[in-house]
Amino acid sequence: MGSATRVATAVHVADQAGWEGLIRALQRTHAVWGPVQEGERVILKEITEPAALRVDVPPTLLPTKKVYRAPRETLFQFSRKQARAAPDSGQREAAAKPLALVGIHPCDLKAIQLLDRVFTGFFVDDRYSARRAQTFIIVSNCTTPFRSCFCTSFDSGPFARNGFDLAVTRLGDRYLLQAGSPAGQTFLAVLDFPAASSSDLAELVTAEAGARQQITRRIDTDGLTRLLNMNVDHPVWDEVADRCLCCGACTAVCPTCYCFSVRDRLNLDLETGERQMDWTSCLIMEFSQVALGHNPRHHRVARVKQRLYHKFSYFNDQYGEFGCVGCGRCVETCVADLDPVEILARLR
Amino acid sequence: MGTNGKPHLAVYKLSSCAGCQLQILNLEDVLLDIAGAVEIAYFPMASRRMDPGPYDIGFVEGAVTEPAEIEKVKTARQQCRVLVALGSCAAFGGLPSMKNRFPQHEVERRVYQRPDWIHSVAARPVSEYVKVDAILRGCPIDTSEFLELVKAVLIGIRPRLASHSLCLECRLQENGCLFDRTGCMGPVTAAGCGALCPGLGRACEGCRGPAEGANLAGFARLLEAKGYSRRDVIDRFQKYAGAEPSMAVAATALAWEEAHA
Ligand code: SF4
Ligand code: SF4
Ligand code: SF4
Ligand code: SF4
Repeated sequence: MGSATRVATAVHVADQAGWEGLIRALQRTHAVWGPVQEGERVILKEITEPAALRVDVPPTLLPTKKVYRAPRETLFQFSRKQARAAPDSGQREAAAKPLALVGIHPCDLKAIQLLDRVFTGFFVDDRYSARRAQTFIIVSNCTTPFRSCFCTSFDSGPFARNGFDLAVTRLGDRYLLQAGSPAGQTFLAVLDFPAASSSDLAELVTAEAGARQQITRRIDTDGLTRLLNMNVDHPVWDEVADRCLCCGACTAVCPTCYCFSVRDRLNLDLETGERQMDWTSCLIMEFSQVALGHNPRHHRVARVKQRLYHKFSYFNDQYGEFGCVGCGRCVETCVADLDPVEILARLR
Repeated sequence: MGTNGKPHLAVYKLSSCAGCQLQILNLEDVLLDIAGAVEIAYFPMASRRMDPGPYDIGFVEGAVTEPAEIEKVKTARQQCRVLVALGSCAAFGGLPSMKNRFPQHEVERRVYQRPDWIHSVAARPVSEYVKVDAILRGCPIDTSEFLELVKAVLIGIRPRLASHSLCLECRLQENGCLFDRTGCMGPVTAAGCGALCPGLGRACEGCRGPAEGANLAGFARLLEAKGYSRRDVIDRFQKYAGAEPSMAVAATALAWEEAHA
């Protein structure tokens, strides 16, 4: 896992062959996951061929959270008659190769750091922390941001500051590499890439400034939580609720949404079965329903507000940071063209 | 309960294509396990054996479109402790309910040479005539939902069947979204099919009926804003679940607005 503070290290340069060699070297010890283009879709998946990994593509359809918690997972098997030992998830994790995330965007890295607060903070989720602790992260700095991005609003991009083992910035046919942790430093030293020239370094600085300039969409975070709390009855919420289909797609693709539900699936013998966990969403009716059928968020406007208030108010109250990293996935995903940047601007 | 202590199961057919019953028979792999857990007492499509009621759990396939079927469904209700509408015809009127927007005599004349031989009424869901305890959505039903329901009835708990929007299920499978190209009905349609159609590159046509609390008015506005005509939107709403109350209200409101514009 990347350390919290960046280790000042030299920048090294690899060409395409060197970069692919790096991935191959990593594959010896790790299961390497990264963005792959499949037709029009960009999917985060395990890489077999290093050339398939793309560092210049839009955000993956589902974000990195899916490697820590699959959309559906079996937690354990049970028997109704006698307590039966579940397959130990800790043992399973230990048997599997540790994970390497390669080519993830800085916003997604920030999202992982936010999910760490949720799953390894006050409550510790063993499965999450087991997978997370061993992860080697190569973040890919964005030199050409995409149309919905607004990471600069939350300082989560376009270049990563900390939390990675290596950072890669692609400049034409060169891959500029910089370690961000002792593990990254060791790994890079073994590969022995040449040091970057002073013109490479100058280009790196220009690339970051250029990327920042391209991101014009912005959420004004100044006093945002207070502003939201003072505007719970603002007319914009009804307008959003008129358009929102409460389909939940925006929460499925959001890298910081973490809600799940748990269910038991019984086998036909009616004795044995398994307990499963599914991702869910506060936008669906069932989410807030309690025993005997009461639902405090029966009205659409309440569900719509829950999503945006959680991101921009409650998350901040709980963790001192906003629960959005500005990746733009929800904007790209929403069929009704709802966009938090536009919605929150209406409150100003 | 039967003499051997196993719950008795019945399957009835009204106006339908028998595709949902076929889905039950498609459960080959587990059919023996099902037969081990329940006594299939009345299932004319599958077996000549027809034990008399009462039954513990009954499935009704098909829409109610004939006076004789009204009687049949009332009998089924009396015979079954738990009555389930099997598939979208029984649950929402299904494809047969497309006829409801035309006068009955016109439908009969269009299809039959001798309309005077026909004794047909508007296609209605089973719940129009009797209380149903559960519905299984889909055209046809999803086999794993069928099993989920049977198991829940057998141990006496409420089944967990998806009622939220298909988009959530579809996005979690990382399908490319078809909405902009096709006006996919997924956003307002109930999940539970595993996003079968979008997964195969085909738009959802809404066969599972509206998701719980679906924003049908908002969806109609969205489709129109994307260039679909009012007629297109109404056709989509009335294809599989036109007789479902929220769909019926939405489609009627759209038609009324158009007529009085
Ligand atoms: S994707 Fe859009 S329509 Fe769907 S729940 Fe989110 S905001 Fe609403
Ligand atoms: S709310 Fe939207 S922009 Fe923010 S992190 Fe989630 S998906 Fe990305
Ligand atoms: S409550 Fe809603 S917005 Fe918050 S994490 Fe859960 S699904 Fe996402
Ligand atoms: S393809 Fe259809 S069901 Fe899938 S996300 Fe898009 S609108 Fe929803």
